[in-house]
Amino acid sequence: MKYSDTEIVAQIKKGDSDSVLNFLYQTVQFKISSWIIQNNGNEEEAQDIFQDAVVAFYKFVLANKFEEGRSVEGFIFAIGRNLWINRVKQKNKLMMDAEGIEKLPEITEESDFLTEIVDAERAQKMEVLLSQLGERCKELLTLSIFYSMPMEDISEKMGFSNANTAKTKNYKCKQRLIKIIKENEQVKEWLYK
Amino acid sequence: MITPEQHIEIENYLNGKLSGAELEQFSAKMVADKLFKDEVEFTRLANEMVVSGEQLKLKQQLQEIHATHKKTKSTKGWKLGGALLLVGIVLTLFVVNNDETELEISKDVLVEAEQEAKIKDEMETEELDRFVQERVAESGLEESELGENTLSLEESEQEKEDSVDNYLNSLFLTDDSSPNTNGNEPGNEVSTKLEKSEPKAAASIETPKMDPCKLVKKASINFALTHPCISDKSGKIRFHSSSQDEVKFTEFSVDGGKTFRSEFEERTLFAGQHLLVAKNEDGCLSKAQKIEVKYGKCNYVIQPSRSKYWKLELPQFESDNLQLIIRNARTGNVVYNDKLDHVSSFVWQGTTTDNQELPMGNYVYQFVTTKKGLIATGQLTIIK
Repeated sequence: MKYSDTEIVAQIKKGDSDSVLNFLYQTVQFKISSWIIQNNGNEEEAQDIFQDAVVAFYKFVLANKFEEGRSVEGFIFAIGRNLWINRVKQKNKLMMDAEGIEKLPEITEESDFLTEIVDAERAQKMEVLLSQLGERCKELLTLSIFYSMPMEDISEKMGFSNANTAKTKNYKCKQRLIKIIKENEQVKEWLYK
Repeated sequence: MITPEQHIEIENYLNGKLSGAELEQFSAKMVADKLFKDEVEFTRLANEMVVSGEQLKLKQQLQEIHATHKKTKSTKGWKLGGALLLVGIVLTLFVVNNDETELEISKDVLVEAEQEAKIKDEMETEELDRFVQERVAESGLEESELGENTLSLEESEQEKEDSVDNYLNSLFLTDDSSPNTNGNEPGNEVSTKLEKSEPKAAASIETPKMDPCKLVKKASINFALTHPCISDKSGKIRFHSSSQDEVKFTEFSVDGGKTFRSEFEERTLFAGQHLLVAKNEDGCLSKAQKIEVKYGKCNYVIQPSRSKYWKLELPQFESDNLQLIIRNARTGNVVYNDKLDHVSSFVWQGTTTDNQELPMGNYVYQFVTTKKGLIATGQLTIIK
C-alpha cells in the first residue's frame, strides 16, 4: 500500500502503525542503510539508526512539529544521518579522551557499552512492568500518552460509550500503573532523575 | 491515591500547561507536601514507561519487517540461483555430450584448486610464524619463554602473562631502543601521543637511516568492542583506524600477529586475552595492544508457562569448574545453584535447585569458576 506524506502523518496520529511502518521501511530503510554503511557503519548499526530515526519522526509528528509540505522521506533520512554523525562523534570523542589520559580505548569502550546496555535494560524492565497492566489498559494509556489522542477519538477507536467513560478508564489505568510502579522495588532507582 | 482532579492538574503540570499563579501554587504544594511531590514523580515515571513501551514496540515491529524482508530476499535469491544453476547444468550436459569422464575431470580440478588455496594459506601463516620467531631470536629471548603462540582462557598465571608481555615487547616495542638505548627502559608503555618533532630529531641524531616503519610502530589501533554473552553469542571487535592520522592500517590481527585479516570487523571474539596488532600496506606492524575481553552483562526474559526457557550454549572451560548461581534480585537469596562442569549446553526452566517453580520477577545469574571467580553476570526476568 502506498501513502502520500499527508496520509502518513494522518495514519500516525490515528495510532495505526502497521502498514505505515511497512511503507516507511520500503521507502526509506535502504537509503539510510546504504548511507550509513558507506560511512563506516555495519548493517546492524544501520538498522538500529533507521529504527531510531522512524521513532524520532513519530515523536515529531505527534508533537505537531512536523511541518506540512515537508518530505517525509527526506526528513527521516536527515534524522538518520544526524543520529549516525552524533554516534560517530561520540565514539571518536571517547577514544580521544582515552588517549589524552593514556588509557587503553577498551576501558572507555566498555563504559560506552555499559551505558547502552543500561538503557536497553531499563526499557526491557519497563516493558515487563507494563505487561502486568493488561492489554486494554496498555492500549488506552498508549493512545492518550504517546499518541496524545483526544478522549473522543480514543472512545471511538476502543469502543467506549463516550469520551467521559474513556477519561475515567484512563484515570483508573494510570492509577493501576502507578500502583505497579510503587510496588516494585527496582523502580526506585529511576525516580527523581 | 490522588483524585481525578489532582491527576488532571499533575498531567497539566508535566505537559507544561500550567503557568502564572497556577504554576506557582502547584510548585509551592510540591515543596510543602512530600507525598504529593512523590505522586507527581510516579505519574511522570508512568508516562515515561508508556512512551518507552511504545517506542520499543515500534522498533520491534520494524525489526520484524526487516527480518521478513531479508528472508523473502534470500528466498528469492535462492530461487534465482537455483534457476541459474539448473540452466548451467543443462548447458554443461549439452557441451560435454553426457561424457561422464569429462565431468569427473572438472571435479578433480576443483578439488585441486581447493587444496592449492589451503596450502597457500598455510604457507602464509608459516611465513609469519617464521618472521615472528626470527624477531624473537633477535631480541635474545629463549625459545622456551615463547611458549605457545595461542592465548587460551586458562592462561591467567602471572608467569605466563609476563612471558606474553616480554614476547610482545620484544616483537613490536623494543626496536626503537635496542640499537641506541638512550636511558629509556625497553618495554615501557609507549605513549599514544606522538611528539611531532621527535621522529625527525631521533632520525637525524641517533639513527643513520630513517626506519620506514617507525611511525606505524608507535601507532595504536582504535576499536570498538561488543562483549560476548556467556550463553550463546560471541563478541565483536570493530577496528576504526589508527591513532596516528598519517598511518592507515589495512590488516588486523587479534592473536598477536599469528593471523591477519583485511576485514575491519572480527565477528567471533571470545572472552579472554587477545593481542591486537595491525599492519599497513607496506607490512609495517603497529604497536601491540593487549586486551582482556570479558563477558558482557546480558539480560534475558523467560516465560516458563509458554515453554520459553533460558537456553545456554556454554563455551568450554576445560578443567576449570563452572558453577551457576541464580539469586533473587531483591533479596539476594540464592534460589538455584548448580555445577556445570563439562556441560556444553544447559536449559534453565525458571525453577529452584529443588525443581520448584519460581514466581515472576527479577533474578540475577552469576557464573563462577574456581580459578577466576565471578566471570559473568546479568539479569533474568521471569514473566508468566
